[in-house]
Amino acid sequence: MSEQVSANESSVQPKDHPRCVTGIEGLDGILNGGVPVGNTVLVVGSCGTGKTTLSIEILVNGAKLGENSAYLAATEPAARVVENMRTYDFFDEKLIDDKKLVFFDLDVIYDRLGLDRAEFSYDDINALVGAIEDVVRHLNIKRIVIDSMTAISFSLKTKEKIRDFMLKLGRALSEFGCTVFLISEIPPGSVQYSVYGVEEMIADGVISLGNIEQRGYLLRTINVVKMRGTVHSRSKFVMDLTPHGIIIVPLLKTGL
Amino acid sequence: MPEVDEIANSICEKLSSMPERAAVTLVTDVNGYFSALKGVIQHANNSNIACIYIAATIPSNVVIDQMSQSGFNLDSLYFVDCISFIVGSPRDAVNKTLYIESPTMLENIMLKVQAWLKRMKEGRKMVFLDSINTLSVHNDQKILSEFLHYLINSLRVKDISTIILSVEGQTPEDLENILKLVCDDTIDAKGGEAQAESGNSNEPSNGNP
Repeated sequence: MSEQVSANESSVQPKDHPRCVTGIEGLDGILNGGVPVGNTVLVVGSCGTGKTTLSIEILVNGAKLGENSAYLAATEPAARVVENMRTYDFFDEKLIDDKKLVFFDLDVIYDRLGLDRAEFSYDDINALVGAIEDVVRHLNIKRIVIDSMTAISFSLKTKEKIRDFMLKLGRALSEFGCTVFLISEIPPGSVQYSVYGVEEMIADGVISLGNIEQRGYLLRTINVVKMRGTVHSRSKFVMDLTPHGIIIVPLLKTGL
Repeated sequence: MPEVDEIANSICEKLSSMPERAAVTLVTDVNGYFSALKGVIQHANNSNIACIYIAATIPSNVVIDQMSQSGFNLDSLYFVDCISFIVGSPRDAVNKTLYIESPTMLENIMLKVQAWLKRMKEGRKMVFLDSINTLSVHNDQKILSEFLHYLINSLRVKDISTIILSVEGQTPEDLENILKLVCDDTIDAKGGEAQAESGNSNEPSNGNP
C-alpha cells in the first residue's frame, strides 16, 4: 500500500510554488508555468546557441511584469551587451531608464572589492556573494543573470570553491525571492553541463541549449534537463531567435 | 473588384460559413488550382482575416503577381515561402515574406508561422497551406503527418483556422487519412461548385449538423 502511495505521489504536481514567469510562451509551457521563484538555474550551451538572448529576454519580460531585473556581465562589457540587445524588438530602452532593468560589469565589482582575479580565496567568495546580495537587496532585484558562471569558475579554480560559491549565492538570493540564472559555456558536443562538472549538481535547474542536425540542416534546440519544484517536460524542442523574441516549437520525432 | 470565377466564389462562400477555428481540407484538381487560391484569398479579404500563406508549390512572388493582377488586396497576406530559395526565385527582403531554404525544413515552417503570429495585430487569422501535395514530394509521409497534426492543433488552440490545399489524385492515402482525422471539414472544389462534407468534426460546422 505504502509503495502504491509513493508511486502516485511521484507523478503528482508539487504544491503550488510561486513562479518566475519567463514570458517565453513555449518555455513557460514546458516548465508548467515558469521557473519556481528562488531557484538557481544553469543556462547551458556552446557558443551561438542563444544563452545570452534567452536570459536577457527573461529579464526584459520580468521587468515588463514589474519585477526589477539585473544582468551581471563577466565575459563582455555590459555596454556591448546592451548595444546588441537594441536590435531586438522586445528590448525596451525605457526599462533601463526606469531602473527596472540594470546592467553591471562584474569587473567593476571585482575592482571595488580588490579581488585577485587569478584565484579567489574563500574570503573573496564571501565578499563577492555579499556584494551581489547587496545589489539584490538594495535594488529589490527579483531575477538576475550572471553571464557567465564559467568566467567566475576560472577564478574559483577548484570544484570545492565552485560548490561553495553557488551554494552561498543561491541561499542568499533565494531569501529575497530572487531567481538566479547562471550562464554556463561548454564546448560543442560536450557531455556535461559545465566546464568543471560541478555547477549542474548544485543548481536547482538546468536548461540546455544546443544544435541538432535534422534532415541535413541545423536546428537550435532547448530542453529542460532538471527543474526542482515543478513538473516539467524533458523533451527536446526547437528554438528560433527572432527580432520579436524567442519562439519554441516541438521537435518532430519521426526520422530521428 | 477582383476577377473571380464561379469555383472561387463557391469556395469563398463555403469557407465563410465555417466556424472561426475550423481546420479545412480544400480539395481541388489541377485545372482549378488558381481558382482555389483566389477563393481562399477572397475569403480572407471579404471576412477581414489576416492570412499566413505557406507557399510550397509556387514562389510567393508569383502568387503576389497573379493575385495583384486579378485585383486582390494583399495587405493582410503574410508569406512563409519554402520554395523560392531552392528554385532560385528572386527574394525581396522588405516584403511580407519569411523564407525557408527547403520544404523539408518542417520545423522551420512551424517556427515562421509562429513568428508571423507573434508580429501580427489582434483580429481574426488563418493559415493556408499550399499545398500538402508539394510537401509530400519532399517529405516522408510519417513526418508530414506529425507536422500536420502539430500545426493544425497548435493553431486550433489559438482559435486560428487552417486551410490545407490538396490536389486530387496526388495526395497519398495515408495523408488523406490524417487530413480526415485532424480536419473538421473537407471542401470538394473539383471542376465545379464547391461541396462541403463534414469530416471528423471536433465542433459542428455551420449548416452541417
